[in-house]
Amino acid sequence: MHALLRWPPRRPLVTLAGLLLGLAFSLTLGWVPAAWAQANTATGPGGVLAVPALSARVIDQTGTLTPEQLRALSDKLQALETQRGSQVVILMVPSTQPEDIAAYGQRVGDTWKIGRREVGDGLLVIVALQDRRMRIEVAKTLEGAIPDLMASRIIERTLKPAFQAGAYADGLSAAIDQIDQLIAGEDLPEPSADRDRSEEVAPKDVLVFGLMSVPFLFGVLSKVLGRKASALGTGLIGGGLTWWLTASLLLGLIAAVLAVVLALALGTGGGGRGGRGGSWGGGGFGRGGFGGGGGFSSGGGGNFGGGGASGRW
Amino acid sequence: MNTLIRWLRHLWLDAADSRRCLTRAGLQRMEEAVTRSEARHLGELRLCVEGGLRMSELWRGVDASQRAVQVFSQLRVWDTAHNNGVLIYLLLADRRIEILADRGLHSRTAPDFWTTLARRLSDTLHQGDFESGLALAIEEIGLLLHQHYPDDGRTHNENELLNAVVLL
Repeated sequence: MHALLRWPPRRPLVTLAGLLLGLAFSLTLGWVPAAWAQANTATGPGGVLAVPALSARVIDQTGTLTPEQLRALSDKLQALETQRGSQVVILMVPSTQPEDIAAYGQRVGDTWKIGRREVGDGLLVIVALQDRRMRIEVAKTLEGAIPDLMASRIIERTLKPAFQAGAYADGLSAAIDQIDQLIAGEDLPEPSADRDRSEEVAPKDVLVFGLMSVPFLFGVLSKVLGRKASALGTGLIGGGLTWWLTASLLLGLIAAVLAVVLALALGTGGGGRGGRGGSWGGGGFGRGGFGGGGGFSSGGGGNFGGGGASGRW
Repeated sequence: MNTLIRWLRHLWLDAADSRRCLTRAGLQRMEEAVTRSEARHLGELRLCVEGGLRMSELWRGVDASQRAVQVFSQLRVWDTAHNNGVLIYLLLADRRIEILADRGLHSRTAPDFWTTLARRLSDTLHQGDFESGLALAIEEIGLLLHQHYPDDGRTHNENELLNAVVLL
């Protein structure tokens, strides 16, 4: 129902920030719009943008579309209604500020009540040009054909790129085609793999990050746990994170094993091996073994003349 | 692949495993056994159980016998008045037994004594019975030392090395 997203400029950092912002917005707006809409209508039309009269299938208050484009889109929508029966309206406004586009969209939908009276199959595409926001408002009956996921996919993969390039009419036209197909009961063709780069994580980065974080994680864990538990914990966390980031169970398992081995090789956790020197002091100094010379000369370790035996079990 | 598994075993096993296979009470009894044995002769006995080697040692290709020599020198088993120190070294990860005797004692021992002892120890350890295996070895070596370096009261019998089992 609330397929809402910004279309940010083509700069990676800004895109990322925009995505996060969009996510935050869609999360918050998911719960509050009804209350907001009421509040906004309650404060009266003075503060917020008035709902225009439903005068055409495509209403452009911004003057962005040329008359030819307007007519072309209108014809398309007309054809859609004739063929499928559903009513689709496009509304372009300069800005919905201070009201949010979701609340505005709901108000417009409530006012216009588009769609067949007995079926209630209306769909509203709202574009707030200066806010760089857009919204697809779907009437209840159509939500089966166009669920939120599909609506946001249309926004994300069709409208957003086109609007970023300034091709408003093209984007809207393509969106209408997809809506048409959805209403006809066909799934949207799987979009070509032009995904947002900022969402993908390069394996190399995961590796470097993982290698750096294993000693840290192991160090923290071994403050509380023993050597082995810490190593296993490090593997569990490292593997889990890798699995989550790369969505590959195999990579996750490999990372987990690597992390465990690395942590174990790092060794001194929980004081397990720390005390190698501790009990080795022996008592040799006080006895004068050094002075005697006999014992000392033999001490080199490598080449002693002793004997012994080895075995295995 | 085998090497990898061996390395993992070495990295995994540590002093805690050494303690586990001997148990705390067992360690205590073993230390007492060494003390009792050394009261009857002038020799010195040292026991060392190591879980696994370190990464650096594995990388250098150190094996149980090389490691035993290291431990022999680090535990100063060479540093005895009569050059009759004996080290029993077990490496859990490789299941290896190394018995090292200093040259004073070795020169007086039958050549196959150590091999026989190692084999008998191996049989007991194979059944997972570390304590009685080591007790047997302590007993045998005690007899040998008593034979060649008996505490006849004329020489001061000092406890030159610690008697506790060293866990690594």
